[in-house]
Amino acid sequence: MNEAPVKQRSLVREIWKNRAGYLFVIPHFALFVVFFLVPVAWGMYLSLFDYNVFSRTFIGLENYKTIFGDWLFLRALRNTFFYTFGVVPLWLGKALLVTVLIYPFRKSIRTFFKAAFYLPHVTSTVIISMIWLWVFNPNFGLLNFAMRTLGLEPVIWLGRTATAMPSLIIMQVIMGGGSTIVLLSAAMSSIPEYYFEAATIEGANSWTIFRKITIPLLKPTILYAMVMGTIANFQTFSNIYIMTKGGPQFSTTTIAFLVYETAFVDYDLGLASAMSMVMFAILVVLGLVQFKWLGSNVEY
Amino acid sequence: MKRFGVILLVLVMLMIPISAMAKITITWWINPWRIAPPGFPSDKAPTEEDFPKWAAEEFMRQNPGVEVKYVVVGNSEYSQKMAAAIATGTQPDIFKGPVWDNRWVGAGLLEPIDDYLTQEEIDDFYEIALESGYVNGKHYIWPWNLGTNGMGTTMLLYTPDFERAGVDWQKIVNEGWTMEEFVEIAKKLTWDSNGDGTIDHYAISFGAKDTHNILNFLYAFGGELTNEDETIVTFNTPQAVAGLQFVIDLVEKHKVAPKGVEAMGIYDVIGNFHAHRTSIGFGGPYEIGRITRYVKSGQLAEEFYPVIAPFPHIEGQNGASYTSASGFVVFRQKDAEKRDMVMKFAKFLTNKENTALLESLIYLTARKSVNELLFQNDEYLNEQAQTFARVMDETGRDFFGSQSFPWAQIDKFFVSALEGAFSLTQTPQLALDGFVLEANRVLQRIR
Repeated sequence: MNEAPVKQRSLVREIWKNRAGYLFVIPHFALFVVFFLVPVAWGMYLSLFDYNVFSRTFIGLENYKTIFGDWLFLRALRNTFFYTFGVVPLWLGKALLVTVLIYPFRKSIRTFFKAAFYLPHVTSTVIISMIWLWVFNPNFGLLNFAMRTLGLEPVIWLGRTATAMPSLIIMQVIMGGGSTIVLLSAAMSSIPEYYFEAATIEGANSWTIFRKITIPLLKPTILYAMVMGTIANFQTFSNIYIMTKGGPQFSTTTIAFLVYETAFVDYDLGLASAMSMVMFAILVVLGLVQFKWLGSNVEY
Repeated sequence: MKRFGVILLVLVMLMIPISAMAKITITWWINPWRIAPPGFPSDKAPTEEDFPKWAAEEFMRQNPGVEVKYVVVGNSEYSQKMAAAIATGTQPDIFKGPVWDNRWVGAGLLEPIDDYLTQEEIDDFYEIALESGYVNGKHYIWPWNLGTNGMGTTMLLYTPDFERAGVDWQKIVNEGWTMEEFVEIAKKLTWDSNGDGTIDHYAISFGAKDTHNILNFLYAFGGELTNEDETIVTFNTPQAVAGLQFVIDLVEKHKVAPKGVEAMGIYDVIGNFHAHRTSIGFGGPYEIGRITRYVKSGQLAEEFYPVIAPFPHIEGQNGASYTSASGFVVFRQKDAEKRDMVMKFAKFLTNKENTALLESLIYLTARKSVNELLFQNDEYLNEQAQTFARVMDETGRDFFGSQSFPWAQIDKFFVSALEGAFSLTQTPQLALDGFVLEANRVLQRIR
C-alpha cells in the first residue's frame, strides 16, 4: 500500500480537526504573504534586472557583481556592522542594568521607571533626531556647551569621521531600549522568587546571583531582544537621513541609506534591490547564528 | 424576454447621461508653496495647503466638468514617491517639485508643451525660464517662478551690524565687493558680544551640506564644473581649488565664520542669520519672505529687514549667482481631451494673475510683464527685488550643468569632498580630485 496518500489524508484530517485555529491564522498569514513574502520575492526578481524605473533589462547576477566591487557599498556594509554591533550590546546592557536596578523597588516605582524609559520608544525618530541635532550642534549645542563649561575643547561631533558614527550610536543607546526594559522586567517577574532566596541562603552574592540565576533564566528574552534589535538597527535609516545624510565622507552611510539613495535618487531600482537582498541574507544568517548561540531551552 | 429587453433599454438610457456627465479627473502634485491665495488674511501665515486648495477649487469652478485632486508632496519625499508612481504607472497628470528629472523626457513620460505655447507667452516668459525645460528641441515646462529659494544667488546683509562696524553697506549693494574687501569687512563684523573673551558673533557661516553658497565661490574664482560638452567633470582646476581654499580660510585663517562647517546644513546657516549670530545671510527675496513668515508663525520673535547684495567677486572679474527657473510639467496623456484639459490647467496656474500670487511669497516670477508690477506698494521690497534682478542679470549662471547633466547622482560626492576639506582631513585639492574621480565614474557609467 502507498504511504503518501495515507500521509496526505492524515494531514488534511489534521488540518480539518484544527480548522478553527487555521481560520484565525489565515488573515494574518494572508497579510504576511502579501506585504512581506511577495515583496521579498519581487525584490529578488528585480535584483536580476537593470531596472531604472523607465526600463527593465535582464542582466542576471551583474548587480551583485557591481555592488561587491563598489567601495561605497562595502563601506556602507562596514558602517552598518559597526553601528549594529555598537548599539545592540550597549542597548541590551543598558536595558538589563535598568531592569535589575528597578527590580527590587515596589510595583508603582517600577512602573514609573518602565514608563519613563519606554517614552522615547513612542516618540517619533524624526523629533528625537532633530533634538539631538541641536545637542550635537558644533557651535551652539548642549554637548559643546558642557564641554566648554568643563574647560574642554568643543568637538564637531557629527562633522568628523571619527566621532560621527559613535555619536549616533550613543544617541541610539540613550534613547533606545525602552521596550526591552519592559520585556525583561516581565520576564524577571516570572522567575520564581525562591531561586533568589535559596541562593542568598547559600551565601551567593549579588553578582553571582545575577550571573548564575538572572542571566540564564532571562536568556530567551535576551535572545529575542538581541535578534529584534539586530534586525532593527541593521536597517537604521531615519536618524542617518535626518542627522548626517550619510556623511561626513560616507562615514555614517549605512546599507539602508544607500539603498534609499540608489533607488530614489539614482533611480537604480535593480541595484538597490540587490543591495536589499544582501542585507536580507546577512540578517537571516545573523538571526540563525544568534538562535544557535543562545537558543537553548530554559525551563523553570 | 420582453421584460429583459425593457430592463436593458432602461439601463442603457441610464448609462448615457452617466458617461456624458463623467468628469475629467486631474491629479496634481505640488511641493510645499506657502502662497497666499486671493482674499487670504494678511495677518496670517499661509500654509502649504492654501494655494493648491484655492487653485483646484477655482479651476473646477471655471470648468465644471473637471475634478482636480491635489497632493502636497514634501521636498524630501517627492523623489521616492515619484519613482514609485512611475514604476507603477500612477504618476500625476501635472507636477511641480523642487526639481524635475530630465530622464522623464528620455523615457517618454512627459508631454511637450510647444503646441500649447502662444507667441505672447513665449515673449513674456524669460528665456532662462523656458530653457529650464528645453530638452532635445522641445519645451517641457510651463514656467512659473524665477530663481530658486535663493541660495547661491545673492547675499543678505543685516544693516544694523554693518553700521555698528562702520561699513558702508549701500556701496556694497550698488557696486559689489572684491574678495579682499569682503575679508576685511568680515573681520569687522566678527566680535565677542558678551565680553567673555570668546568670539560669539561671526560675519558669515557656511554648511557643507548646502552646496549652493560654497559653489558660488568656486565659480567666482573661475572654476567650471565640466568641460563644454559636459563629458568630463573638471571641478579640480587651480581656480576651483582656490575658491574652496578661500572659503576654508574664512573659517580657519580669518576666523570670520564659525567652525563645524562639515556638520552644518542650510537651516543651521539660516538659523545663525535669523538669530543675529551672523551678519551676512544668503538668498534672494524669498529669504526675506521667510523672515516675515517665521514671525507670523511664531518661529522668529522679531521682524528685521536685511538688504540684498551680490556675492563678492575677484578684482576685475564678474562674480557669480545661481540662476534658475522652474514650473509645471505635464505627464503623458493617452486621452487627447484630457491632455487639452491638463494643459489648460497648466496655463491657468501660470497665467499672469495666478503667477502674480508668487508675490506673497516674495518670489520673482517667470513672466516679465508680472515682475514689472510686483511690490509696487512696498518700497523696501521693490528695491530688494530690483537689486536681485540686477545681480541675476549681471552675474547669473547655472551651477549644476544642463538639464541632461546628472548632478543628482554626483551631489553626494561633492558634499563628501566639502566635508573632507572643511574637517581638514583632506586638502582642497585632494578633496576636489576625489570628487572629480567619482563624478567621472558616474558619468561614464551613465553614458
